Amino acid sequence: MDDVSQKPSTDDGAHLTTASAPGPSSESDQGEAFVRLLLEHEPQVRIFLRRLLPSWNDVDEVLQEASLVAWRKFKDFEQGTAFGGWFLTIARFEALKYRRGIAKTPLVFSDDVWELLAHEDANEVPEGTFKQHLVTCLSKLHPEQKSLLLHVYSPGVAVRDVASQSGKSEQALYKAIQRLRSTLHECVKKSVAREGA
Amino acid sequence: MSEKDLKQLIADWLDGHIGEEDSQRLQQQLRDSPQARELFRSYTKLDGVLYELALEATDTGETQDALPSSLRSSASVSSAGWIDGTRLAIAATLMLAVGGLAYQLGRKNVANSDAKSLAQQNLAQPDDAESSGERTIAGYATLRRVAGVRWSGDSNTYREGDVLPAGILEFDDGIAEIDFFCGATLIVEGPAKMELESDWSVRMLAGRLRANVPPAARGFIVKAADSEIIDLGTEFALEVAPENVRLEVVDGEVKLRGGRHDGEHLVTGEGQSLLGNGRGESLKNLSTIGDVQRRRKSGQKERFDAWKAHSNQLRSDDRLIAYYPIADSASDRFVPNAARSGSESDGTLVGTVNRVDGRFGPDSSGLEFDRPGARLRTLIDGTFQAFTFVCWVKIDNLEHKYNALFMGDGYENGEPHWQIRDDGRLMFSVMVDDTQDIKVTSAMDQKIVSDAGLHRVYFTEPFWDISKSGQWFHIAVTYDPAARLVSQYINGQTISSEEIIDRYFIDELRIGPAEIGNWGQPFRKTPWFAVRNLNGAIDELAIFDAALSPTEIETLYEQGKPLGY
Repeated sequence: MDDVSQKPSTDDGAHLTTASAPGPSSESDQGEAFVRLLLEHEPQVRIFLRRLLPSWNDVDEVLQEASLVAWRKFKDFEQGTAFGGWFLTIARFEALKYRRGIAKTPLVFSDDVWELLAHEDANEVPEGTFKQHLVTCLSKLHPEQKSLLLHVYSPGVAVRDVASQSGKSEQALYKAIQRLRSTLHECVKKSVAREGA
Repeated sequence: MSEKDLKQLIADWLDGHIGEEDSQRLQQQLRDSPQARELFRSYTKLDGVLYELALEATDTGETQDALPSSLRSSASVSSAGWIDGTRLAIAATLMLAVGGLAYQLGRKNVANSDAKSLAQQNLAQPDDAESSGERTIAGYATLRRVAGVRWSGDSNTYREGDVLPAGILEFDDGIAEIDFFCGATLIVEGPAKMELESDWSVRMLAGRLRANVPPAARGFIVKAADSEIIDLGTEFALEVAPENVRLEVVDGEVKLRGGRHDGEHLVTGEGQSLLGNGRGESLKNLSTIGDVQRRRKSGQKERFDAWKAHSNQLRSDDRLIAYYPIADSASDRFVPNAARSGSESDGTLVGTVNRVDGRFGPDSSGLEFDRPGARLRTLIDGTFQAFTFVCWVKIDNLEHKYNALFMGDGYENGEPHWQIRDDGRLMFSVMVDDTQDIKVTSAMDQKIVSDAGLHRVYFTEPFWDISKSGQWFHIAVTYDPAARLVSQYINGQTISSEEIIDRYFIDELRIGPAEIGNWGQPFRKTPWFAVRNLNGAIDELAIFDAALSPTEIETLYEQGKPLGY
């Protein structure tokens, strides 16, 4: 990628008052290009991280750190190669580091399982396609069921509170969520099989 | 296990309430069965997309309206054309991290701060941030500990804590302990030469090693001569000489692939010769992890003692303005000024400044400024003809836009600011005229903007990134009005040298009330950038009323470096 220093310039660019405008590949353009790529690839990386980390909080933390690292490294990124794969590698490394610092609860898998989940390639349904199928499947649920499900997935919502508000036991609510998820899983699977990924 | 049971386990894991026993059952399934892994992946994906949809449902239209238009348009790139709150939160974080970007996207609150002009100033300079020799973070192993390692002539050199990339690792003497990310540990005795191929595989070209492979790393491969040694758990020793390659299983089992013993299994106590006649001294006396630690400890103590002797000599240097040899002091309230200028310039610890291990390990100490209120305050009166600042610093993270090393309180005429920008560049500046409200041409939008006070920030190329987190660095800057030169150093080597031009010339230097590790009284009250505490530790800092020569800086580095540098 070009940088400002390679542009012929009438001054030395060394101090404020005589500085010229940056060229077309300036840091700001890079910034925009980066944010665009990041927004495009983030959902896929977030889903990848979900299977490696015990909770959504952990996922968001690692994703944020990975985004910052990716920005700092963006100059090393070879334009024209796959940003998704590059970003994923960074995210995996950040997850690995993060993982060392958290308590070893039953939610944290052992190293060998983690490696399998982190490195195995699989023919997966692309995130966007999966999402379209899921939206269709969600619309087939009873509206109340749909809003319940999306509600418990919202940030800051605890299943325990939802349960006490609705007068159900926590366990019963978890069961209900699990059933809905299972229904959706089947629906998406069929829908993908029927219409292709 | 039925699919129904497996789904139940996955659901329990997703919902965050799986027990230890069930977790083990789930992991066994994931380990053994590709189908189980596929099901797991597909459920986590469902969970992920549900999370995303829930975020989108929570986001109201307001969020979108509040966005800069440039971001709104780029957000629509996302697959279904929707905006996701968390994604934007992360984009916003990035904007904070990237001053220029933030400015470009029109975040007004950022644009108001003094940081803006600095960011622009830097943007106006040739933008060649790509630092040569910068290691990628996508390495395969960590150099955990070294003892007495002497790196071979023209090979790459590494320090403890460095991430090791693919490629050749070669040293003539000493012991290195290498942790592969898969969990395998190698204790390698020099002279040794090896090629890291992946986090599961290494080719041993010369030297002796002990491989320790925990269950998680079963299948780790060491290649030697024409054989592959596949470790099926625990420990083996290997010697690779030009005509002789021998292997002994210390404990556990290995399998050989390729070469003249293809397919053989060896168990505890068994050995095999992979090349040559197999005679030679026993491999039993190979170094262990304990040996590395012992050698390291005694080596570290030697370095610490040597530094103490040099530090005692340094105290009588007449050019010193102040000197804080923190590594060998113990009080938790103040840090004595060891220079002749005396106790007037003692440092006082304010806020939660933690004492942590210094660069010589647990025997020495450093001050950690990772809390926003943490600081070491001091008062240094007088006027000076030149400055040299030297310190040893360990950076855990550059989490603020600017991270303070040494800062004059008011940033008045002649006062210094020494800090590190979040992209790993060192910054040094001296206020030239704080009465001028400077109009500068912004390179970003070709508008005139104003900046408080005439000063020039001297930047270096980035020397730090997250892969260097936790490492100690010796950094120095000399400000030499007589020679009209500002020079900056990392680990004894010059990394930048810049002329002081007329406009930014000042030869009457002061310090006054000042802080180490933070900045107390920002001259702009923008809280955004006012937090500049150093997320890391400092264990020695010296200030001279002179510009030390490059040789003197290098000597200070050599005399004060810890083991492994």
